[in-house]
Amino acid sequence: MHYLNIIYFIVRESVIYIWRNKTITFLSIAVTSFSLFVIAFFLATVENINVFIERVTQEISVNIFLADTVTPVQRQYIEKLLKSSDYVHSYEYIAKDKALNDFLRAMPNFESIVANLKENPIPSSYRVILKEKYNSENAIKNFIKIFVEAEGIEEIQYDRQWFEKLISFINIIKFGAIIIGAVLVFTALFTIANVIRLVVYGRKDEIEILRLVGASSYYIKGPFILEGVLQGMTAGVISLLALYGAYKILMHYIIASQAAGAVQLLVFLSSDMQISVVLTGVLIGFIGSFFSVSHLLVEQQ
Amino acid sequence: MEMIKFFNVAKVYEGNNLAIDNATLSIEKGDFCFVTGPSGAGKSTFLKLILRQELPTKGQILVLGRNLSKLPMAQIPDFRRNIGFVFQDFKLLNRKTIYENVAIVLQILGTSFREQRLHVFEILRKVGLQHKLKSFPPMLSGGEQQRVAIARALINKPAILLADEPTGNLDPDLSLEIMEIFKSINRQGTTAVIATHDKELIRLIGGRIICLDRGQIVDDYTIVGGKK
Repeated sequence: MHYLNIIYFIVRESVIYIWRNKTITFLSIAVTSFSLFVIAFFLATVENINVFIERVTQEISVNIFLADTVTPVQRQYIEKLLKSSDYVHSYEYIAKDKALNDFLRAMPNFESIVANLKENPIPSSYRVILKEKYNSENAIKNFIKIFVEAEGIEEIQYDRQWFEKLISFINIIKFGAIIIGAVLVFTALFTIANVIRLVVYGRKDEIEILRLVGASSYYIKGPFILEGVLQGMTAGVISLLALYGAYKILMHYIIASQAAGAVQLLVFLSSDMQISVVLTGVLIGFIGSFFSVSHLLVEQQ
Repeated sequence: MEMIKFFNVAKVYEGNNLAIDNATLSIEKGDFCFVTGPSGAGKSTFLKLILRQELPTKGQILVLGRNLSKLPMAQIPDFRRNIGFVFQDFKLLNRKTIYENVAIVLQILGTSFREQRLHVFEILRKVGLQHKLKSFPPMLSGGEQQRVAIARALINKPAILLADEPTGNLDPDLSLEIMEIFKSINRQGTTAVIATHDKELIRLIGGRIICLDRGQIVDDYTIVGGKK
């Protein structure tokens, strides 16, 4: 019964304080939300970079371009090599017509030029996706050696080199983002902690009075901590909603600009990360108010 | 039965300011005491030492059988729940209503809501503020705030009542009324220690008079029926 009384007291005091001090509560939540938005934005950036790297790595392919003179027997032999190779995850035969259609879909401006050509200039090919473990440059080179003796092949191309350059560039950006992000996160946490501290210090007299009338520390700390937790949680949810809004607006502009590839690449925070942002708000609210009140109580003793 | 006992107590503040100088005295259960003296005599410090708001620099203080210098931090709230204190600056919670300011003492004692309501209405009626239940302290006059502070100090019928200039903001008629409330709670067994420099009030009410001057107890006598 006594514990129920304490819980009821803490909840009631917190709700009454929040209700009666809407301006302070609003300002505190606003600052915390903005800071958490910065953290969420940073997490979303890192997550998008990771997703981009993952997708790019998965899409590394080896293109085996066939000569126009390739015979069905030669093609069968090439397919046999592909089927029996341990390197191959999957492969796809792209006929000349399909290759031309794909090209025109990607580059519609070339349609008139292509229409004037007597022959389809694009060769048929095999697009081979290697197993993830064979995505290194050496492995790709070894894979290509399999086709040294095969006839009917005009050229074998692979885009590993380009991707590796891209990935090392992205990694530099990622490293920079982590450093900037860490500074932003630290600043955000520092801001939130100070806002809580200011709010708690603004109620210094209240804490002193409660102590003098014989309130135990849980009666004094409880409402402050619960307020901190509720405000942190609310700010976490608001920051996510704001980020989602920003994500939707960005997607709208990307779709409008017809950059279809970018639509696929841009992802919102994963549910784990969303929970982490809200929990960060809750945790900062808890720690900030707990230490501020405890510090004040020690100061007043 | 001794409720409060001072043994060679001294309190020195920063800057070598001597507030209480070698005080030794004892206050019995049911005593009605005035602590008087000029400004800066040490009246407020005397009360703060009893509440364990301050610790003595030297000597020992026993209150309700507990040595305050050795009282563990965790036991201070429990100790203070036996003492009602009327502060000179009221110390009311400005963000709470009058009802909540008074009820908080009962809330932290875990009293049921029904009883809380009953006792708060009763005490506010006694101090004439039953119509201000939903007001906030800044909306009240100094005298009314003083009465709220008195109601809060008396709500749980404490073993000891400490009051620091409780009538400082009140007119003479209201001062007498408040003193009557103190007297009535004293008749029910509460030991009252009231710091005031109002000599006329002391003469009218009577009781034990402890005179302080520059931190020293310079006189200790009783007035009955207006006479020493």
